[in-house]
Amino acid sequence: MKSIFYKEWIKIKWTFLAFLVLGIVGHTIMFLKVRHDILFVDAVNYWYSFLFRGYPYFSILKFLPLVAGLGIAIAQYFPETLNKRIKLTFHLPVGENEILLKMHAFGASSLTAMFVFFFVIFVSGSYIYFPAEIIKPSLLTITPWFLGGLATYFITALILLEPIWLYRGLYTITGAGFISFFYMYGTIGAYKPVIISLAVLTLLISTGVLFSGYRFRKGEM
Amino acid sequence: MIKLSRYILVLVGIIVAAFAIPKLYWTIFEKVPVNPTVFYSCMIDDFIILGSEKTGPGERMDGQGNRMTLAEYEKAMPLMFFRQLMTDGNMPDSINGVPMEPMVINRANSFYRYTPRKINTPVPSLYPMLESQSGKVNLAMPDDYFRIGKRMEFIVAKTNKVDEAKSLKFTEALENKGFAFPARLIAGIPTTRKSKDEGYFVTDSNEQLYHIKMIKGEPYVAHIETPEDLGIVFIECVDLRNSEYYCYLFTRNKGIYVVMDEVYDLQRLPVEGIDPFSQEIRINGDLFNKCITVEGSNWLKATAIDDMYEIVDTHEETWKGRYERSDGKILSALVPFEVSLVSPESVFIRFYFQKSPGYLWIFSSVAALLISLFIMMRRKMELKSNLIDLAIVAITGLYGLIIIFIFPNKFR
Amino acid sequence: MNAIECKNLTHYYGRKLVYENLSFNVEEGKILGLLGKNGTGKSTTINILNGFLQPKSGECLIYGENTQRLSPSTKERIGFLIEGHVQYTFMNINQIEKFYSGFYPRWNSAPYWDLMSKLKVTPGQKISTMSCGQRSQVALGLILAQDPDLLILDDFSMGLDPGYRRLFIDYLREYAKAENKTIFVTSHIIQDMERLIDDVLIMDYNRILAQQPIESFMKNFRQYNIRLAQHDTGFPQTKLAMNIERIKDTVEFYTYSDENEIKAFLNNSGISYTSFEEKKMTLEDAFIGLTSKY
Repeated sequence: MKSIFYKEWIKIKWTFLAFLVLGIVGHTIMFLKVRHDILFVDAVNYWYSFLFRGYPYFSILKFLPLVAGLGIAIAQYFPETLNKRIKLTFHLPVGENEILLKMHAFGASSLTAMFVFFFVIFVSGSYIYFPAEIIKPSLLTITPWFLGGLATYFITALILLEPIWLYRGLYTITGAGFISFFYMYGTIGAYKPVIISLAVLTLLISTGVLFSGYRFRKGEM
Repeated sequence: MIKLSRYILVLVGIIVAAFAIPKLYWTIFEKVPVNPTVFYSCMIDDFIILGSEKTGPGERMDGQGNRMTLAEYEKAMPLMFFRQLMTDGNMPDSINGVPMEPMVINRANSFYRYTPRKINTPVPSLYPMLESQSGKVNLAMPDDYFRIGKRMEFIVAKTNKVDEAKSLKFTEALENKGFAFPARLIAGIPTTRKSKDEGYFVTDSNEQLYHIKMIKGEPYVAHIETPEDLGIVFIECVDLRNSEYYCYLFTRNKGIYVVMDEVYDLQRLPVEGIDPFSQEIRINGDLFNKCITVEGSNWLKATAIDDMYEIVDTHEETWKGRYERSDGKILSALVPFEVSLVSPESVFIRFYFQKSPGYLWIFSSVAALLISLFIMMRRKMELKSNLIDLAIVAITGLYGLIIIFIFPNKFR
Repeated sequence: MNAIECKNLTHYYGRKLVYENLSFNVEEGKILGLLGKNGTGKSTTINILNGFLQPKSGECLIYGENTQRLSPSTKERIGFLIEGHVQYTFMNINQIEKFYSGFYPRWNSAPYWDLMSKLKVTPGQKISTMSCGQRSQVALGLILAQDPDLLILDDFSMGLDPGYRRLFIDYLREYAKAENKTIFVTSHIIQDMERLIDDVLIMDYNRILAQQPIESFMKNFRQYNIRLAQHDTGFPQTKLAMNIERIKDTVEFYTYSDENEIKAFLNNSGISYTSFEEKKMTLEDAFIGLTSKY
């Protein structure tokens, strides 16, 4: 419904733009450094350290998606938790699950759009300097970071909506454990076998917010 | 729908618990594993085992189980410790009629170690083709990298563009030798820190083995005859000082072969049951013998061979595996399974699922089930609506017990 | 037809009982006021009505639907004012009107803008920067624009100036009666309620003290001030009194009984008094009289 998206956009507008800009700046810095280093150590040696020593050129991006997911979730759901304002949303003449899912879908779609945009910049820029044999493993390596960003969004929303502090803490611990799956230390391309499983789990966990929403509605004290 | 969302959270929670709890446990309680190393001594005509379970870490024994002191060990391995012995004046002048010259000894010594992490790993697929005979003393990195897909292509790093002429030249050379594109395995030593460059050993899509080098800028391609159904799964090239052979081949018929220098004869090493996906392999060579050690998680088999690749002697060791030691036993009694994202045998990150060996975990799962029932009854929860939760605890034991209460089931 | 029907509501907070077996109805077109001290279960009742709390037992129906599972079409007919005039403060008055109007087909923005014109705010001003009173006007304006059949107003008078409160109450009552609206309202400011409500529901800890039309309540519930002849006379308990407040030799006697019954009781108990007069009560007096001063 247009109204829902209207309200959600008002909430996340500035956060979204901030991260978009941050991401563009991050990518720019990354490529400027690549350009500089290729010039100074010679392209052949630069490719060598990527191919045979596993030095990535994109480490600067690692936690960007996570912070973006966190930021957008907070921008979207924190205003709802103040004074239990989400009661207003639940009171609207729409099914409670439906409206929560739509709010969630909006946030997730915005985040995904941002990430896709970053992917496009990443591939376009890398294409100038590197062949497919370097770009493909790089994409494999950064994909879990972006999935982790989405998972962070879903889990943060779930934590913010949870009414009881004890459970908020427990969900934070469990959620942090889950998010750590996306940021394990590994060489370039190491995540290849597990990306699909992680994507499926991320998709599944998007429904978690319904659970907290329900707990909120039933008046958990 | 909401119930489903809770079960999804429970599932994810259990995965996290099954990952975090064992990790915490091992971090606190893991004992240093037994990790023996085996050498063969031409002096005592027997094996020397370091760090066996019998002797403990840092101690040595011979193949019969007799302990050896450091001095005895050094004396028994003169080819390894020749520098020390020569300094001490304890080096024999000759062994087996061969005079002990440091250069000769050094040339013949080799240490090779293979771990499954070498095969369970992402493959680069771009390689530098060095000039094999530049006439210079030092090797130099080329300006380009090659890949072998539908054809062999050289990409100039600086411009990120294909060098068409060179690519064509090499592709034709491969086609003339009957190479079936694309390549399956490409193995070489992609560094300038080696004594000589021998290019790459490559299998094509029909699993035929080729040797590709660049000599004075021109392609050198040799097709190496291999037996039918050899099934090469892994190749590792080595830079031996005595240039005895180019590389090791690991094959589907559970063997290890070496490809002899210049003549390209395949020599099978006299060891059986080789599984490069799970075993560690060490090959230590000296002037007279090679010692091939094949290692699993709680066993090893060492085979000593002579310079004709005939077996001279064998030795076996076993030790308590992870789950036979007390630390592993306790954990396998507490939890029904473990989840990990990393494995010592692989570079890849994926979900590794390890069921607890033995049956002791059944007791703790039952205990977990009883505890859940107790908690549910104390909280006056309706058992009928919690049947699925109880089933979850029955299957996942401790993890389920914790998680079903972290995500409480309060549906009415 | 009852707009609201609550049957046998029982709720506990932990082990503490809030109330048990509370039942009440609100007929369509009527205005019910829920009065009670803090902690007597007003918020609990509101939360149950809005589906934000599941009572331990019992149920509430709004237009025949269980409040735990209200359908969107029923929710459309209910206007809800949260205690404290809670609203989305990150929007300004334009944005918030645009937001809500998308949900209600019957949305009539005229009353909303009418109210907004009385506010001294700039067009782009976020609600978070407004004063408490201004925010209440926004919240109330939104409800009026929604044009619901049933209004549930939790402490609507909080933060409003007395003059404005008076204006709003009169407007609300006229609006409700003209359009046959049903209103369920709670408030701390009892004199406001007096002007507004048709029926009263007075709650105390664990029980309902009164549940009747306000007219009959005000007629039948009386306060008699009795001056005792002697200071130290003990005053006996009696079922006739709903509440007795005593300061030295003055007794405030709150009861549903008439003058003769009380005088008879006093005589039978041997209590001598120097004066006996009925005090005219406001609703606030009656409320305090019924629930006692502290």
